[in-house]
Amino acid sequence: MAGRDQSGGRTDAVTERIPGVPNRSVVSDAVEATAVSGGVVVGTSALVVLVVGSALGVTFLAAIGFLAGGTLAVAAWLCNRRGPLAAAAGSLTVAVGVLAAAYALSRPFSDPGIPLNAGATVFSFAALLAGLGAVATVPGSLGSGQWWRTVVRAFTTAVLPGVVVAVALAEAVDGGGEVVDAAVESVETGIDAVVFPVGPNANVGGFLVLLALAGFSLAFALRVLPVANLVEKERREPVATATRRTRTWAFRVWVFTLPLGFFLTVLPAEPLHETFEDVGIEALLQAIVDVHALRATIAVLAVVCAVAASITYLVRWVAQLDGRRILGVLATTTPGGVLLVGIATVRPELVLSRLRIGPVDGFVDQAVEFMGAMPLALAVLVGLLLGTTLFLSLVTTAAATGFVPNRTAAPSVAAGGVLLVAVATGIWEGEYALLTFGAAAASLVVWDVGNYGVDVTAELAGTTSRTVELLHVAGSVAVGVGLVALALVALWASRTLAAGGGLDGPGLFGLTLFVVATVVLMSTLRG
Amino acid sequence: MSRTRHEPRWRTAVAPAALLVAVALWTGDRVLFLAAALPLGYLAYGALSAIPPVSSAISLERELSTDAPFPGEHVDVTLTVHNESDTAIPDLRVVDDVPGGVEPIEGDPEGVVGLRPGESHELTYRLVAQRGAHEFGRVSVRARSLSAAAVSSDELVADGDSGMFCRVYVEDAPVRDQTMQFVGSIPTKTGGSGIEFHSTRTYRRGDPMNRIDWRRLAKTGELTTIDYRVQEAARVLVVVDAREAVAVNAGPEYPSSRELSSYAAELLTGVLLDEGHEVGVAVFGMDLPGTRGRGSPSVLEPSGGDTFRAHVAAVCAAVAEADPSVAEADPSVAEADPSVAEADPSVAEADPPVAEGDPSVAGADSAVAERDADGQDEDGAGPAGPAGAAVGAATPDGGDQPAHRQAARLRGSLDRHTQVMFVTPALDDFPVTVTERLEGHGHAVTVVSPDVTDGGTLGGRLARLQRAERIEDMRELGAPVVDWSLDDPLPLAIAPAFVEVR
Repeated sequence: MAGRDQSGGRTDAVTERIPGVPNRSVVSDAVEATAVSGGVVVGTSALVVLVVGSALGVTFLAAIGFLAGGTLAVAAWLCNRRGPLAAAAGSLTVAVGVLAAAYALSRPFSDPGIPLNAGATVFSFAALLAGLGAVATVPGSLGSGQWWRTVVRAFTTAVLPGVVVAVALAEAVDGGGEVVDAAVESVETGIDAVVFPVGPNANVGGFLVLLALAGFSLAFALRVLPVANLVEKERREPVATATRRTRTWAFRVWVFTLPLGFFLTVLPAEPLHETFEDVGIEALLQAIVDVHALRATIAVLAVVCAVAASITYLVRWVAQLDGRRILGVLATTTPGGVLLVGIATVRPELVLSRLRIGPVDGFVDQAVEFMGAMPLALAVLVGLLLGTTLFLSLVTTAAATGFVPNRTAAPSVAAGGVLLVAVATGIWEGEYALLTFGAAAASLVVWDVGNYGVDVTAELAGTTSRTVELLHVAGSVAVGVGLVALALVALWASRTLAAGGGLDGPGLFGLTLFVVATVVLMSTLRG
Repeated sequence: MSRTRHEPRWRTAVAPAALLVAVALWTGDRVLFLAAALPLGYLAYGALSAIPPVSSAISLERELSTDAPFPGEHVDVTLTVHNESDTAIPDLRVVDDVPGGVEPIEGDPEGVVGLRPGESHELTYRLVAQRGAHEFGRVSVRARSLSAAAVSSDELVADGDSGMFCRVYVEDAPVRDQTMQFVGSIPTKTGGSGIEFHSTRTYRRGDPMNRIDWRRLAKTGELTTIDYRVQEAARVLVVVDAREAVAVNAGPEYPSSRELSSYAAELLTGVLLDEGHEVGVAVFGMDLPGTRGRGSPSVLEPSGGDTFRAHVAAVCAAVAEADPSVAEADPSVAEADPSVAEADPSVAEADPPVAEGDPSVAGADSAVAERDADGQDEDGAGPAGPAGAAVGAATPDGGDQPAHRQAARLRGSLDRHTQVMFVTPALDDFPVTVTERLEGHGHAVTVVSPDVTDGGTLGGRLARLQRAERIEDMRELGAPVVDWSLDDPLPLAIAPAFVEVR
């Protein structure tokens, strides 16, 4: 769920204060939710996820996904508290949360009772997001860079198991040249697929992924490199402003294009390109994404930016090293690493069995032969730990770029999860109109109440009234119930009155235009 | 005029609508298309919501429990918010502009409330009065619709009380009986004219008719005359402990011990003057212009009249502001006799046992005599006294002087009949030492002590216990102590002190 805060710009800006009272300014850091808003967000999110999951026959998936997200939210809260105990608990919790999240996300592929379709995959991710956002709403633990600190804690947790994996890998590389050659060949194939693709599907999706990587590298480089300091003093201010704006847009490119590119890559190619043809953009897309020189330029930009930024960051970090502090951080994050090593040592097949799906099965056997079951399982767990926390950091990056208000990142994430539940229900086999409409309305209620309870309440530094908040909730819920009823009536009318079934290309296009026109009209109604 | 605007918060609904439309396009599912209308419905909900302008819809009235409080007195503020419109206001935020320098100690000057048409709500909070005039500012008001999209803000002037003026009005002291017309209020052992019964005797020719005991005549037929205790004026020195070492506050919103002591001293002085006593003022810890002696204590000798009252007020104001120049600026100070800057040798000789009998103050007395001679104080730049007694006030160069030396200097300003009313926060042993010295030399001492300790912290509780012990010590020395809690109004709190003037 995306939105902008009242300032319309960077979410760290202080929004409008109560006039005449300069001391009572709003808070720009992560803010705890009030009892009412926190209760409504958590309760509504959990209710929607569980009710929809139960109706779709995936109650366990719903529960485990929501709990996994909640565990990650608790991990984020712990990782941002001071003290060695909190650091150790945060390390442990983030490992447990990632494992639970991986388990939940893998259930649609491993559980024969769950239909293997896009709906189940989306639903499992939706439950995870809903749980993460809802639980994080209570302490306000997704705003103000808090998730970034969780990612850092995940990285330090991965140090111990990473060392084990590195040692096993080094031993294996010494022993087996064929696997190394195969790995190198795989990497080369991957690079060719992104930079010099073949086939229609990878073209568009791959191009967007490349663009996203370039955006991320550029943004990272502009953040780390002292660009403004390289020009003369008089021009530093405008250069710094331009750098900031460029960095913001580069982040936005990354946030928007990466999931879209991933989405387009996994979609079946034929229907996708038929849709592009119907809409009339196939030729235009081909003209852009098939230009190898453009792709190569973007790839070079990404590599150069990443290398320059990495070297600068490393030099700066080495210069500021505090050995005792590093030791302290590593020591307090060993519990999570020990947990991962323990699981990989005691039950490696518990991890590897999740990978034995389709063509990957053979690769797993080869890898086990190459480096051993335990190091492979540990490498998978480390990859999951880093990958999941990094992927979820899209949320905080979205907050930093203004897509999601920083202060209300948690309820926005929860609302996004509930909205994805509506999407999953809509694309599930069979029609679940009431559930779809209900989940869509519930996502707006979660966003509205969470935003109100954090953002508006912060106007008076936390002074609020339970009655006023409940009134607001009642209004939001009443509107939602009314809209659901109207939608059901509209659905009945469309079934009764419409000729034929389904929607064809021109019909789709016309309906799309109608929706866009309605949106524009609505947005011009009041200022 | 109110600023009414629509916040674009519901434009967020465009994103979920767009996502649902995109998925609907992909799947061709009509349910998802219809689901995309739900976020747009919320967009319409936000766009169509309205709120009346607060400038016309809201009225405010502020009421203070008192608009002329005494320093340290609690003032209860009640701000009544009334919805004058025909529309319910589901979210109304109100922030009262508390005067600068005054902080609420209880309650909040801000609130959030929902009001039906015609409904009112009261915000209450409590302030502690500080010296001076304090004006309340405009009240900030912001109303939101149920969707929180329509917002109306303004700063409104509240009807009713808009300010308070805090000072010590001597005329308002409840202990003074303005109908009493007598020279002094201290009853003696001598019988004669007065108001307190002394004895009866046989009637003598020339006795006033209004002193004949007519009731006894009616009963027994004997003609007798009633004798009353002859009233005479007391000589009182009000001493203020304004040392830097004990100039503390009970909290940031409370007046300092100097302010409270100066207010109490001004009130005591005024009431005693009105009752016909001879009153002077002395200050430990400040070198004040127009007073006797250099360094501590600064003494304004007992006197009377309007000029003297103004001088006392100037001295008390200087103590409250901790700025001697405040007294210098007062015209009554400029009229003060410059010869009082020199000590009176005859006063130092008024108590011979002091110079002869008490070796511990012999050195101090000789210092007083030396100052008397040449106006210079040989201890003016001296080091601190023995450990535990090194509590003092500012000398001309700002150093500390032991308590017994300052007590000795003070005694140099007293004759044998002068009573002392000592206003001190009792935060160290200085007042105990001074009280001991004065009581030991036959001066009646009454102590008035404002409690400026904060019982909310561990250190504050310890300080409070130590202060209680010192008060007990002073009582054991024979000095009545009025322990003034800041919860009590100033005049009522110090009323017992007047009873002790004897």
